[in-house]
Amino acid sequence: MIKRVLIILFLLISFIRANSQEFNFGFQSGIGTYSMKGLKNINSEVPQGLPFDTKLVADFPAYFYFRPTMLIRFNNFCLGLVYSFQSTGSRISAKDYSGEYRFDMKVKSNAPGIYCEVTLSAVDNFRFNLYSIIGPSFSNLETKEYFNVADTVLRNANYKFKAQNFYIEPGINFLLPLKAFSFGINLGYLVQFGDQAFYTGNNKKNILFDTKNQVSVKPDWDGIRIGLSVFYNLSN
Amino acid sequence: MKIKRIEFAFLLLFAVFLQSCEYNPVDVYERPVTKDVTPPQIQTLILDINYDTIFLYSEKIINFRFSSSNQEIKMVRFVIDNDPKFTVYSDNGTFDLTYGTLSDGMHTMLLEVYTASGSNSIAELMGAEGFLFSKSWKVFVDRSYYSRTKASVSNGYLKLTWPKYRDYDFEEYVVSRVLNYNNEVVIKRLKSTEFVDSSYVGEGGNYIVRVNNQKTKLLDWGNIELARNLPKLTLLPTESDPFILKWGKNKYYNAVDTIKLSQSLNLTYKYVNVKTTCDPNDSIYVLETGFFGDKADLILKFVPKKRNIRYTFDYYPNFESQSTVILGFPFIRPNTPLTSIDQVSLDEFVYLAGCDSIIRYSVSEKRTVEQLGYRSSGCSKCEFNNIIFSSSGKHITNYVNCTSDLMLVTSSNMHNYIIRDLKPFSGQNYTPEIFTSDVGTAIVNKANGGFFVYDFNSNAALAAYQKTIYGGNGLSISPNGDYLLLFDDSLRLVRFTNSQFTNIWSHDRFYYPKYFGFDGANPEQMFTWDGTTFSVKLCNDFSDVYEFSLSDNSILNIDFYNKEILTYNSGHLYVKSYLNGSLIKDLPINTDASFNNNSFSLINHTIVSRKGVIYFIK
Repeated sequence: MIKRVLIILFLLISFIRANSQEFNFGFQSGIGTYSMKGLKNINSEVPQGLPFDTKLVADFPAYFYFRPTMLIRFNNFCLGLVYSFQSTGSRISAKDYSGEYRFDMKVKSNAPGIYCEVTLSAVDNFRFNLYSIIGPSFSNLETKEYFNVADTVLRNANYKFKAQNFYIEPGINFLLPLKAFSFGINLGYLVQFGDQAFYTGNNKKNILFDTKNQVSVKPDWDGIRIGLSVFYNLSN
Repeated sequence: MKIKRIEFAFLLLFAVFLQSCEYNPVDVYERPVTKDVTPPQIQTLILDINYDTIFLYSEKIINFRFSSSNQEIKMVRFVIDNDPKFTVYSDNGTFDLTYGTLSDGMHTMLLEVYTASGSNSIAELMGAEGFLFSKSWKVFVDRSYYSRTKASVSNGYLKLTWPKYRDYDFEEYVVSRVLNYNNEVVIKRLKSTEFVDSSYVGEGGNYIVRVNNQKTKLLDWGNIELARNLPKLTLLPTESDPFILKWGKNKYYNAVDTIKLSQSLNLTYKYVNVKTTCDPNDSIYVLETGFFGDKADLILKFVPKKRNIRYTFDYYPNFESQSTVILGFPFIRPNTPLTSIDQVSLDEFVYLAGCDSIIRYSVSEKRTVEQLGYRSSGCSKCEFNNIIFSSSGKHITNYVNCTSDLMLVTSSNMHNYIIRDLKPFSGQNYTPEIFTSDVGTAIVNKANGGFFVYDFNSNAALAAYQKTIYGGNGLSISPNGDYLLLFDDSLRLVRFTNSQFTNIWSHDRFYYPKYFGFDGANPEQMFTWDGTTFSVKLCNDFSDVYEFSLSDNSILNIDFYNKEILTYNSGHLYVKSYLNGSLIKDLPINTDASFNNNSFSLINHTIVSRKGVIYFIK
């Protein structure tokens, strides 16, 4: 998947350099919050089956997202392609001298998208823009359960799931061009849509199911995206 | 060129971010635990095992309850030979220790009490950490005890012994005697492994031994069933009176108070006590009543000294040894059907025993000297039908086979016999008695009157006798075959020579002599007895050889070889001289000898009874 995106981006850069007014290649990174309601529900159920106390030491916290971007700017309008990579996770943990229990969930998303930006105002060298990204989201979930008592591993199980949905992220950003580079700050909110639940083994019927609430579990990447970005104007 | 490097740098940076900046949870929750905890003190509140060795005879219920000074008791487990048998996740319970799959012999049982460790660690909460307290016992499994209760005789008493119950909970043994189904009486409670029943005299019984082991129920510990074992009465084989009864010493003689002998004669069942003794060694009784040939029913009763719960009126027969004897010297097994006794030589007689054997017995040797058996093929029937002895006894005729063929047996060697089909002479479906001489000739009476003189040697008829009105019926033929006694219009003695019949003597057929026949030892003589005079005659002309007075009720038999006559008169058998009628022996009897089935024979100075006994005169 990553290979495929890189090839597309490379071809796009070559095309834009030949045809656009102003071509920008940049990279955006920041902090995203991730709702992950379904997975959190699963985490709430896991300790109930254990005879000892545990603690949820990580509960899908806000974490960095990474977003390489390729844009063509036409005066006050900008259009481009983006690729977002975001990840988060959780851990239920208990450990003492006699053993350890942990239940980890790591979820990540590869999300290519179309980027649109409209400049609302330009003061001096500053630009205040409204942007939106839309595209598919390919999510991967990996669960790891490990249980060791008195140096005896009672359980060591890994499962992998995946799901495909869509997202849209509207937001605003401020951009300050300086010579060939532009520096920006952005604030947006990602909304995921689509109903595909996590499934495993390439069988879409083998879905991750929340037995307590009797619902299938799907990725939930909804949340705020705050980031910094830097662009390089390839037209210079 | 410069721009391409920046593009490459961006791409590289992007790739690195993608691969290395994925979220990874790293935090760990360190649970608060107490690592070094002192072990608790375990107190046994209830444990039904008080000794180091358990003797397991049946099931054993083990109740237990423990308490811990601190940490909670999580589990109690019983392990036998490293095999967990019972586990309870509590501090109390009940373990039903049974044979199960345990083999006889010694086993090891381990009790394990598991407590929590008190550390609150994951291992503790998972049951993998705690304190273990254990104790072991030896378990001895014994299934064989029930069959090891034995009975023996000790000092004239019944002694029961059984294996020791070795478990700690023993209280006492309980010995019971079974009276009948679902009815038993406890006769002794004791702690030793033996019990002497001083009231048992051999009447038979069923004893049950149980163990009272402080539980609510008794453990069946042993069972023994004793068959009635009283001395048997036997008649000593004496040649003549007095008749003597003998019995063995009672094995349980010390338990016997009195021995009582009662007697009944000849099926009257009026038992009269004839002897009472307290001496266990006094085991002989000389019959004071009863004569030769009498059937004596005897009851020997053993009265216990001490109270015997079985000694009640209904069960008196259990204390009695009953026997039936025929007074005289036995020559045949008791209760063997016996018919057709007849003298065949100076010392021997032959009788038909049962259905398929004729037996030759020597009086002087007191034993059977020959036995001939015969079995027809193709049908099931009694053999040796219509058995007839020749006047001398040297030959025997009878019918065998499904086709009723005639067998001629030489009595001195009974296996030397021939079989002939005489139906062409006698007629079909008619099997008359065949009177034979000692020279191979015989009288074969016909169904419709008349008879043939048949020759076994040529298997042909030598002559036919047929009178117009009476037909004629042959009665006897002399040992040399020269004379016949027959009935036609009168009783006749005829000479048979050259296939011709010549009348010698005739007598009114309605008033013929009470007893007559040929002399078995002297072919030329015959005898007649009219009830008062016994006459010996020459066959040739019926002239007297000698005669004497004989006025008894009946003549039973004549021993021609030893010249003696057996007569019966008013409850007496008389042995008299065949030569002059003088009395040789007067033998009183209780039976009426005039009945044929109670008949007696005189053979070589003995009287042989059809009841299977002999009386030796000399």
